Amino acid sequence: MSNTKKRTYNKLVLAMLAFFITGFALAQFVGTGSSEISTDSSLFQRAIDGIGVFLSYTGFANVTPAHLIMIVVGLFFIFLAVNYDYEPLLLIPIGTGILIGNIPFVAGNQIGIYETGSVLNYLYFGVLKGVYPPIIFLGIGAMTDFSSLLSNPKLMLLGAAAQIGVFLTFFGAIYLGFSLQEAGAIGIIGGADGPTAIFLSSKLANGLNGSQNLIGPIAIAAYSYMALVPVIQPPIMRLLTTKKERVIKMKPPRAVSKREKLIFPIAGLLLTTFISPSALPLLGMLFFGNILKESGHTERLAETARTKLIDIITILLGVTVGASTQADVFLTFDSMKIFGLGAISFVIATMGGLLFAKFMNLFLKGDNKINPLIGAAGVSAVPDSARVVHIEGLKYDKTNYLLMHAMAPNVAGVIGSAVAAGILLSFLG
Amino acid sequence: MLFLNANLEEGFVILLVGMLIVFMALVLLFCFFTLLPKVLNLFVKKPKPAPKPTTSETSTKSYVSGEQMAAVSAAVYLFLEEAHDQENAIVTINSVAKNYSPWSSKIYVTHQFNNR
Repeated sequence: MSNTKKRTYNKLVLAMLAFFITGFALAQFVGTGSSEISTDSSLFQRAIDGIGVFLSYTGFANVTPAHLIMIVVGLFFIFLAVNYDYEPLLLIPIGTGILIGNIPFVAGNQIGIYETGSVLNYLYFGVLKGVYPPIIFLGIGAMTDFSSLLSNPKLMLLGAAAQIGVFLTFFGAIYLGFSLQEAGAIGIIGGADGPTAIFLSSKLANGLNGSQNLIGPIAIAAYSYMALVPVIQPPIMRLLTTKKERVIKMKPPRAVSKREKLIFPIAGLLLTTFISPSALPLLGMLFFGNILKESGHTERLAETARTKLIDIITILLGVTVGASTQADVFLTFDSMKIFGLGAISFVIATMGGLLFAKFMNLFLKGDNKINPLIGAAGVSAVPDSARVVHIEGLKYDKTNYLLMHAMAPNVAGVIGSAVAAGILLSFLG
Repeated sequence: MLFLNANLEEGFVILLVGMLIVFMALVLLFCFFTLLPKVLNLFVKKPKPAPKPTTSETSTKSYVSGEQMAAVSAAVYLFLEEAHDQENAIVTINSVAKNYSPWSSKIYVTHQFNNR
């Protein structure tokens, strides 16, 4: 940074500090008086009282350490997105939402996200009632090419194996004292699928069915760990695979016919939702989006679903989920436990996929063998975990391109986690 | 299961049943899509076998070298790149009409003298 830039930056920081310190000082010394202006005092005194009342409504007068902690968390999310490019499409709306949700205010003026009738509360309806996640799934369906999965269907099993993270975390959450419903919602963090996590927590842990409202912590944990996939997964991959396994070259995927591509969403929809009807909102929309894409006659609808529609919903979902982390609701010991369980579930899910890939290799011969690294992509987190697998593979063999192969368990993971969510919902809903 | 309390016991059952159902759903998809190409191939009309070459030279003639392939690919690429977009060939002519405006009217910027 040049000296001029440094000086400007320092001036800006000093100006902001001065602003906040003045605000705090004024709020403490002037704004702490009564919140009403006395009518029988002098004009000057009434003006001072007026300023005092105004100051008592500002954020400076109502701020608590918890608010400041959450504001730092929001800024950290934005920093991660801007500086390291970690899931910026999610972390910037969520980070900004955290800032919005944690501006201190006086309750009762229809401002906060939990206050009935506020604008944020109306937008939050889509999260609370699970409206947004299926629309996100529609967009995902319209943008996903399932050919890699169709060319090598056995890779679907990796998407199933990684769901062990969901169920073991569910079990762990019960052990830590959460109710069955809350544990089900926490477990789905292991599915590494933000919309699925929000959908299930809005049904099981929404604060309305006798459970705590855990939508905020669960969504934040799910999206944070999804953004941290490039940090979490590689060490586990190296730990559980040998160098020889990491350089296995898989045979190129076969060409998939147009007809197969169209039959996939139709058959997938019928087969999976007949088994797990509770997952219908998610799987129905996912496969519907894919039918729009593959039918070849609804390009306009597919284009809308995978661009504008998913973008609008991502904005609304991100900002409202972020805003739902209001300090008094979010900063609890249970939230810390959820973050811990979320990390463990990601690790278990990755391990499940990797170990199952190694297990499958025991029965596969010659060029049918699979590179166990792609098992890690079974955790969903589309397409980040597939990209991480690809990069990890290239580190050991510059000519081994695993991206297409890793996309297969990756999209199978989406289907698997939605089925798992449906199962948990049918048992606990 | 004596060592587990009621919630853990129920959780354990859900764990087992849940994993089983997830695997079942994806195994079902796996089986379906492993068989699908074979089933679809049954309905695909197989092309008639080409007549047998009459001379032994044909086998050498059908060989296409890498250079030839590259040349053909480059030609196809160039052709496709140069191909012009389809246009509707309608040229729209917008009529240019100047509406009267007093702002630039010459009559208002010249001095008016009384010629009486």
